[in-house]
Amino acid sequence: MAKPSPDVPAMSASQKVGLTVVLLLVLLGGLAPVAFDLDPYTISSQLRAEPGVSKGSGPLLGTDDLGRDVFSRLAYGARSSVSIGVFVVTVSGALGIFLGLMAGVNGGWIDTVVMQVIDVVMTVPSILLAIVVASLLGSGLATAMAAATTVALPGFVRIVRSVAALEMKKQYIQAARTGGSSTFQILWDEVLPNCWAPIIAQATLGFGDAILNVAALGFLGLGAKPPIAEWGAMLADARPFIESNPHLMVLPGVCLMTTVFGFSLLGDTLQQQLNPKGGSRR
Amino acid sequence: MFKLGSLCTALVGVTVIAFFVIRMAPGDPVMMRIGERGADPQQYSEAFHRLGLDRPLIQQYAVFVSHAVHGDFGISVASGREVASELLDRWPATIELGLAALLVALFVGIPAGTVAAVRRGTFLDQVLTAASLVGSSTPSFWLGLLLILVFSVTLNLAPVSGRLDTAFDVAKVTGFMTVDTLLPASRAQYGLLAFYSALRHLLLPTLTIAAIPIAVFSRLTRASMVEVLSEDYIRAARAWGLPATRILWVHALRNALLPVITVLGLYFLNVAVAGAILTEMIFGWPGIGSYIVSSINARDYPVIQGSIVVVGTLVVLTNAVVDALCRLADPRLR
Repeated sequence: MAKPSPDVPAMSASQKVGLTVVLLLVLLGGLAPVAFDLDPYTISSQLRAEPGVSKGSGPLLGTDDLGRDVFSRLAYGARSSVSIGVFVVTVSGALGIFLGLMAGVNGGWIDTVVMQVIDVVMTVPSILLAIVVASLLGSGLATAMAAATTVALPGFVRIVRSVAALEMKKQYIQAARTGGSSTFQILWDEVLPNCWAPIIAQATLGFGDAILNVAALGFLGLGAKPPIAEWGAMLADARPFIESNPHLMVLPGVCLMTTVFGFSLLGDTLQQQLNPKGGSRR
Repeated sequence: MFKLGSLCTALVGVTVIAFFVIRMAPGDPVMMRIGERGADPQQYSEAFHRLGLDRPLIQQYAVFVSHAVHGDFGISVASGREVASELLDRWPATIELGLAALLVALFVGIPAGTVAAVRRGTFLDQVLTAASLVGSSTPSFWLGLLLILVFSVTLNLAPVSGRLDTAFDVAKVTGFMTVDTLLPASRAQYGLLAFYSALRHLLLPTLTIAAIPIAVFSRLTRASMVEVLSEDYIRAARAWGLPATRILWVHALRNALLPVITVLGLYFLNVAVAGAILTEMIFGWPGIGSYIVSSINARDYPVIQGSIVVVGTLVVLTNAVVDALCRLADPRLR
């Protein structure tokens, strides 16, 4: 995701681990369904996981309570997660860049209004905010993603705004303006390039958070609807079988944890490298 | 005190969000109140007027806020009881769980971070750092299920749901189970058995909520402690001959904790609310969190609205208090 540039030091060990996890996720979600001809949806009464006959015969990781292949569902869950992350980060990033630039460059009342609204949004705990959005728009994967986008937005706005406000005071902006550049040109050519480094770090962290938030909503029944394979919803489905078939509950959680772990490892180290003064994430 | 302005804006924001929850909710607000069936046009327009829906929006908002300030959030569609009293009933359970989690997070996280800072670079430090990294990426709802699997299903050490064994019938006085079971009435009847039962029920949900804050607090404490330990006044204290443990746990920790406290307010509340919602649902804990979830599934909008106002206000006020405390503790911020 991050382009290595000459001034970025070599990758640290934790960064390699993070990158590996991210690549594995993309491989699992992107290639596994194609390579192995997986089928996460077919219900089979013969293969249904019952106490004692879950693992062993047949499918790699066994089947769930409806006889669906667990490995296929995990792989399609990875696919859902990647799409969720890409969507949430792209939309909240684009909106955040727009609002952050507006606030940081113009200052004045636009800045005040945008930042006050962002402060209020940040005050409401993210899961509660997500629940509000999901309960207004009706539950489903799309609304869960919209909710996660709302939750992710403030981070981007704040970062872009602080960098933009700082850059606008510098002399080279003045020089560009004197040279006849329009405000849009200044934004695009001068201010935005300075924002990319922190945006990339924030996007990496946001990717993991987005997957986690959508999974939490899925777990509450406000996210992905059956039969969509999504890790949070899979966890909720597995709850009644915690005694008889614990692997149904353990496996999606392991996937979820590893993914979030990878992204936060990568994001944290990126943040430290790209912005040594900035400190850690929260 | 110039923070007062943004405090007010935040409170207005919370009430506006809550106000629009009902306005934007799918379905007709009048039909929701008077029942879906058998509403003739006259009844409908009467209810329309009674609910104030014919007034300007800003006036409706003002009425909503003045009701909310008086603790009136309307009637729950599902139970027919007042939302405020429903929330009051469930409040102690959530507070009890949140406080327990906060205590555990502080008493595990801060010492762990301090030890890691003192032994930085050693194996112990690496183990603690790795543990905090893994801990902070574990989804709380999954951790809750794992704890149930290990401690309840496999080891049979802790109960899966509720706040107290059904065998005990403890009178509700404060609503805090750990307090009510220690009151004379309960002591006379059950001795300490009811109290132990309450503690056992509290154990797994507390750990579920506390896990991520433990990780975050220990990371923060470690970072800030490493910085403080290299300061001149610590060296001076050493040269003065003060005992090392006293320097560490009194002089260094006091200053190292400031940045931790700053984060504590917003961060812990955020985690606790999220944790409360997910964790209470997993453990069948009868608090605000599980109430919110069930009212969303029941589309009980007055309850959702009331919960947003109450929880949002609490978060905003706590932040203001934490902010004020930090200014008091650190003169540089003033």
